[in-house]
Amino acid sequence: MNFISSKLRNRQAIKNSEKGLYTFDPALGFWGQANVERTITSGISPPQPDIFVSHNSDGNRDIAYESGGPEGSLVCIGGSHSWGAGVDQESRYSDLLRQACGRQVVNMGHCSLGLDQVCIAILNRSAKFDPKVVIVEQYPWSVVRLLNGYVNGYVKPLFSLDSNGDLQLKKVPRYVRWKPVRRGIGAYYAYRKELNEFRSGIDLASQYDPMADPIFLHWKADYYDSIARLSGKVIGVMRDHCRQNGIHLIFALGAIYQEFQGSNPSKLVDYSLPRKRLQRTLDELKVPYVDMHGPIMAAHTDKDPAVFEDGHLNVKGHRVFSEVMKRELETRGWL
Amino acid sequence: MSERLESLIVRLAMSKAGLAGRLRYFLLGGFFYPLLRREEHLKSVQAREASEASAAGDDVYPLF
Repeated sequence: MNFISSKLRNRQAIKNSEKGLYTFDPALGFWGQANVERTITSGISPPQPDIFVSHNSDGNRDIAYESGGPEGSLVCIGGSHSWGAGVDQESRYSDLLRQACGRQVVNMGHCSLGLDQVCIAILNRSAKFDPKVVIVEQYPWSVVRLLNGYVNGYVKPLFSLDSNGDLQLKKVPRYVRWKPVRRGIGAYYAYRKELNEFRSGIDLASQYDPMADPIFLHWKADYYDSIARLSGKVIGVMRDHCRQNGIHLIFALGAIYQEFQGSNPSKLVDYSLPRKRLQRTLDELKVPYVDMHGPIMAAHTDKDPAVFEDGHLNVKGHRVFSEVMKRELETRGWL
Repeated sequence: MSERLESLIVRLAMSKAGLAGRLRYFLLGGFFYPLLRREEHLKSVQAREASEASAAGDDVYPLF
């Protein structure tokens, strides 16, 4: 129980610390507030020194964008790992890549960003950075965000598959710019999600134990296969967009926090399930990826960890991430 | 055959511990019932139309 309560405390602290850093966005639901600077307590466990957060005019936690010239830029996008939860801006893998490659690197990562928002941001928002390579950092567990229409107080766009298996997008309604409206809609989305999960025998609302999250349970696989189908379509859109615009697309799959806690408690529980599903999807779509699980786990020791207790990359983890990514990009001749 | 929405709402409420939890979920279910009902209806209409129409082409993203 201490473990669970500590996780909940961390989550609350992270949410609190993000106050003022995010704002309503009509296309993506939420995005970074432009031109803000804050010193925040990140809520990472064990407690870390406060970090300085500075968003540029694009709302990204990054330096001001300058054209990368004819070489274009490398765009990194993902969730809180890319945003740099718990670490200073200069320690993040994107900033280390910039130093190591001497190329323009743009970090479009934002806390709690779902694969759906990543897709829309690549389509609608990355062109101004003239990307030649797009690196999608994806924590494999985060694919469940595809089902969440309401995140951290914001209504977000939702993809779904229609009865023909075609991708449909439910855009963010304009009226959710008002917070009370968002709360009302959020309550409905939360209830609907819980009802759908209950229908599939999944109960995340009470007694949630991250070590027994249903995404890791073999006997719940059917429910998550539907997410895999949806994520396949969404990644397909990203891939097609990148192909059409001469952009190299590559995924970087993170190591799942539960895998650092020890071995699987049973053959029916597999902490690598979401990663394996995502890898299968990427293989089918012929989208290249780097699996950071091996390198991060190899670098991680009790005395000198590569991740914080909650699984976010620490300074060492970001360094390993950037080194592996740089090698991969060089091998592919993309630098 | 999928479970009826009404029954699902009742079962979800009854799964909650304590009277207050059950009451809360009964109220939530009742409040959101019209919206849920409408969405279920739309889904069933789409499914019926899809089964009647021939599916042509693949990987079509109507919104892009």
